[in-house]
Amino acid sequence: MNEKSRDLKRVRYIASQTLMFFLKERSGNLSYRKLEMLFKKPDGQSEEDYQDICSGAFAKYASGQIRFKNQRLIQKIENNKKYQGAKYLLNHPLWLILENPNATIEQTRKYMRQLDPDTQNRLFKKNKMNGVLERNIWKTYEPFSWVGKNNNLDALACFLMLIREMELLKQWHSYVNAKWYAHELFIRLSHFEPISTLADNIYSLIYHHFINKNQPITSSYFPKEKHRMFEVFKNEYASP
Amino acid sequence: MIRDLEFFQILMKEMLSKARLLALIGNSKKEELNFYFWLFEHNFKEVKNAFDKFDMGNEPPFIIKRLMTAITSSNTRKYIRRAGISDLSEPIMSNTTV
Repeated sequence: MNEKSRDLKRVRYIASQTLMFFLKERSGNLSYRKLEMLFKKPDGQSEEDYQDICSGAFAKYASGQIRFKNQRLIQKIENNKKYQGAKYLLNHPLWLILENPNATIEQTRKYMRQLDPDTQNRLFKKNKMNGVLERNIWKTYEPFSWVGKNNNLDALACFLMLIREMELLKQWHSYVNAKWYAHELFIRLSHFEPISTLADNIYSLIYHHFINKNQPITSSYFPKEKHRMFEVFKNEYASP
Repeated sequence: MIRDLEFFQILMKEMLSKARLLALIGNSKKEELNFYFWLFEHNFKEVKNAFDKFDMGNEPPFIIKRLMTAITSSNTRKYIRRAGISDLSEPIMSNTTV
């Protein structure tokens, strides 16, 4: 099994674990067995009868033994108002970029269009002439800061996509900026449940496929006329 | 690598407890995340040094004054508060459906 497919598999297990933590938190700390019963028990069946056939699948998802694949079940969970957002979380763009760290520009932009509307508004601007959405390339720190303020998985996914996009566009300053913002945001998120439980797994993926890539940035990354500029602002290109 | 994360988290916790002695920072996940955001927007090392100096009973360094203003002033509080833009009940897992 190659590295890519191994990571792809790992990411989906982490996504299933995150979903389970989300359900547990939303339910007010119900046990996984009770949650399974809530969503998988057929309508006519009593709780006692279901106890015998309860597979303990939710606990297995939460411990990362198996991954969540049941689309009908996720739709059923999503239809329950209390657990709205579960489907988005399972198919979150963060998992898409993590399982495809070598995405093309078109793919990263496709993933970006799946982020929350606030982040999308910062990433894209509408061309007034033809109404087409165009990428709004960030050249200052401010947009990074605005997105980072959201302190959520969408912001983290956005930074990872930016790292890949800027790498392909060879915009090394924004590339390093995105790395720092992703790193810092991850430290903040991993301070709290549920990310703290999954921090090691998620960060090792982020570190190996995004942060530790192209380290260190040297003058060979720039055209010859920019070598002098690089020497002066060398510290600005240091990664986390 | 993971050890680095743990080290940062210990520092962050330490600074939060010190900041709590100076200003009112709530116990909710959102408020703590907002404080940590402020921390990262400034120079982490500078803030830590400032807190250490302040412990020695000196005049509060500039950055500490800035933090106190950021938390108490209505304008800058807005800036810190803006951290949860969409005011999600759960700041970590955005429940926005696209």
